Amino acid sequence: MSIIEVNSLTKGYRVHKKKAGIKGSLSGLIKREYQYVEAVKNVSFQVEEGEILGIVGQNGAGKTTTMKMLSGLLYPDAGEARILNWIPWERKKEFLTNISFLMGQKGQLLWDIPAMDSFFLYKEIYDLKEESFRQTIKELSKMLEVEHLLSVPVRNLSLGERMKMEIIAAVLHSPKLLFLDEPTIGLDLTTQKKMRSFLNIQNHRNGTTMVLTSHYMKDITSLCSRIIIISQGEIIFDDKIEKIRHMYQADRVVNVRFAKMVDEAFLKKYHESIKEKKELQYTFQVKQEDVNEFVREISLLMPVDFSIGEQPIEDIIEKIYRRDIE
Amino acid sequence: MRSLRKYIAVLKISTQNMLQYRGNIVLNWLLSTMTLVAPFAFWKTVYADREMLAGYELSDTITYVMLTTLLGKLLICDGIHNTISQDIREGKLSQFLWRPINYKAYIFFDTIGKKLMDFVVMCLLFSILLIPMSALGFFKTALSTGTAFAFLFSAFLGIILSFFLYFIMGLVAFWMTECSALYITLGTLFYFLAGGMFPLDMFRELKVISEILPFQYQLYLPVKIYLGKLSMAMVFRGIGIQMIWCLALWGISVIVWESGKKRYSSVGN
Repeated sequence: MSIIEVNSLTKGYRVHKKKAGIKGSLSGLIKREYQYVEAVKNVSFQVEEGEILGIVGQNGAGKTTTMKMLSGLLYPDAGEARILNWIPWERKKEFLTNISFLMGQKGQLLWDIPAMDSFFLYKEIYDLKEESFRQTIKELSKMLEVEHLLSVPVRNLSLGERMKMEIIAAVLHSPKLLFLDEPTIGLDLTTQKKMRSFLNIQNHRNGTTMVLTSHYMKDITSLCSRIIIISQGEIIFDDKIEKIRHMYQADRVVNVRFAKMVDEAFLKKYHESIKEKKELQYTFQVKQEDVNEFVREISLLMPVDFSIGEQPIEDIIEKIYRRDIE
Repeated sequence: MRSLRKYIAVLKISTQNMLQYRGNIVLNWLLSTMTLVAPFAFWKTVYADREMLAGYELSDTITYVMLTTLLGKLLICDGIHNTISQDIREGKLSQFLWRPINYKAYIFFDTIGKKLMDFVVMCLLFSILLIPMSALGFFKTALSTGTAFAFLFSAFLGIILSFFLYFIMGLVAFWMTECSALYITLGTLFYFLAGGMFPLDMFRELKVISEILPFQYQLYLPVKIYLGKLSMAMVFRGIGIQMIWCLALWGISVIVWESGKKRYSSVGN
């Protein structure tokens, strides 16, 4: 069963255009010029129950606007959406109790008091049973290693600790659907990893469906089974991640380290393919069909170290953006 | 009952929130004492060469001013408009939209929670002051049961009315991103019109206007009832108008909230 069904969703904003400088500010006081920006254009997709969908796109591509509409924060200009059979922006209680929203850039816990106090408030809001509430808190805080921080005022926590509390607050009521807007932004690598494994466990154990945006490819590749790429408000890709490589004919990345000066003729021939060079360490990006020939030639040069890998997803996605904009 | 529990939790949290900053609490209490005592010196000077001012004896005025200062702390919901406009401007409102909680009720109980502590302390200070003041005849405490009841009811309506008033004012932020200029000017005017600075009937010219406007029904009316300065008919009339205003402002707040929500763009990322 599809948990999310989106049909030609469209949303635009009216933005006040200001010319630069004081002169621009002054003339803006008298006559305002507005510009209509279409943030999301005709977006349609579905999400199945238990799926983790990644929405990828550059800043301002329309990812967050889409999520805000799906969580009922914004009204669309056109199109329709159904989540668990509810229309999000009608904000029916049954809909609200089944969703959650974690925003990496915006804390939702009360700042001056310990996270535990906010959790108590959420307990009452969602009408959770005392016993299972205690149990969940104990379990989740242990999993994230923040048990000892539950009674520290949120303002005294580090960003990583705070985000762990935020994520507990987001899943406390066992939502069926969880929106995650850049959940790992600004976090150190260990904390990012912890967050990802936490989300994976939530997904496996409770079957929580998730919609996630992130600029960290690692979030996407280790969590999402499927991605949607949005560019300038439109979906330009919607499929399994592996499909991207096939569709866009990903190149191969070849790392080579030479023992001594590299053959000039070879470098000249593959000049275009050099992606990176650090002393005698070279990284080449080679088309898939040319890899055989390339490897044959390079082995004649007796490299000391040598590896072939796939092109990183972010490079492919970047290429897709660029192509779309052109 | 369930949803009431929800909002009792809000009330508890906001009280806890208030108790987080010790320095601020102590300072607030100290300054509150001053606001209770300071007018005393002022009015002594005003009454130096007269017995009566617009039908008020010195003791009437002192009672009025002290009571409005004290009750103002509880009844006037000044300040919530700042919270609301900030929530809208900075996108904090989002959480109240995607969680099953009513923002209006949340703000209401949050306000009560914040005021409660302040009010209790003010009452303590007040009762200490009351002993010497009444002994000197500066404070009137002759309340009949009927008047006391009418006073309490009217005070209750006062806080509801005040809440809707400032709630609507906060919602202006849906349309005007920056409304501090509006708030500073209107804040003072509203407090004056509520009768928070002077007994309103000292200004005859204002009477017609202030009786039509909702402001005086927040504070001035309950205090007047307490002072026993109104006839039975006037008390009923006043409370009647209070109720009408409560209903009207509630209606306006619903309309403004609904259309504001549609404009909300939950800014930032």
